[in-house]
Amino acid sequence: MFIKKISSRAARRGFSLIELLLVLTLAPIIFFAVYSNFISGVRLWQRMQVGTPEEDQAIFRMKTQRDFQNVLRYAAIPFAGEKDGVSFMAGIEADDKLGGKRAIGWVHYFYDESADAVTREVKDFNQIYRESAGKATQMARGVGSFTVVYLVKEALSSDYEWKEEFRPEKPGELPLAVRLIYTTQNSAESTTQTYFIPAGGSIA
Amino acid sequence: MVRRDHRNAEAGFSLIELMLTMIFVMLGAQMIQGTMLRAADVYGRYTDTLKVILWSQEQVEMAREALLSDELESKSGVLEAPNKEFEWRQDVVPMEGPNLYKVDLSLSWTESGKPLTFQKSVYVYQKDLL
Repeated sequence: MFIKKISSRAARRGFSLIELLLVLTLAPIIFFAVYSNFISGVRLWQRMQVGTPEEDQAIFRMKTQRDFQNVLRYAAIPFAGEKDGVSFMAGIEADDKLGGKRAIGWVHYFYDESADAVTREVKDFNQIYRESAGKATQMARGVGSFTVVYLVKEALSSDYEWKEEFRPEKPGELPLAVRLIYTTQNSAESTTQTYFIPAGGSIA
Repeated sequence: MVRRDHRNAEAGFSLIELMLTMIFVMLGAQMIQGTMLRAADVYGRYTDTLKVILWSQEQVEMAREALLSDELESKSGVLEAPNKEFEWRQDVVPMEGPNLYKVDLSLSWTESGKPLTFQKSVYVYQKDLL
């Protein structure tokens, strides 16, 4: 009976002023801490979702650089440079059935408009002479435009110029450098990647 | 015994218990937020470093091109990116031997108040071209 009376009184008493003030002080502080935590989490998540164009560019550069450093002078199958693609003979990864890890093959970089991708096609000698399709891999996805230009030394003026296409005047001739210019969906600015070809230049 | 349990159930939490809980919750929230901000810093540093590496790779190729027309020289400038500036410097040192140079590239910027520097040195050589 006594206990019942106290409980009833306590229920009617409500909060003291001190309790109310403490709650009013602590509640905004806790709300702010939780809110800022939530907002910073959401921002971080959004930033991670967008992806980094630099990461895609770095991977693309790493993959393509090896090919352009291994361009070979090969008279029978010349270097062919167009505005929207380039093909050449280079060191490639060999099929295990053919033995060896590296071999000589044909590499073709071109812009696949239907897939918005820069594609690399590789053929070994069997595929070249049978004129069958090579192994195609998408090297960069979400590409809006893709242009290739070639650095050559003008024979008459001895000036160095970037040209939109390259056709060897002598068998086995190579451009001095190749520059890939492309735009991606992640970046408004165009990206430029230049590769000097160690074996590049004219030959005697 | 039964009466005491009944009283405890009615009493609920004391103010001290409530305040202590709130303090622990806030401390936990602060620790989580600190971890998130640290993750954001690491991510920013990673993208900036990638940007700088890509720029330096292209700058080396530009140096090779400049060497073709005898325009390779020491220079400096500012690389501008959204909300960030990278101060860069290119030093060209002639080496023993014809057409052989050492190119020192350095970039400096700040990430969350901390100064960062990236350095790259390459040798560039120009063979005689026809």
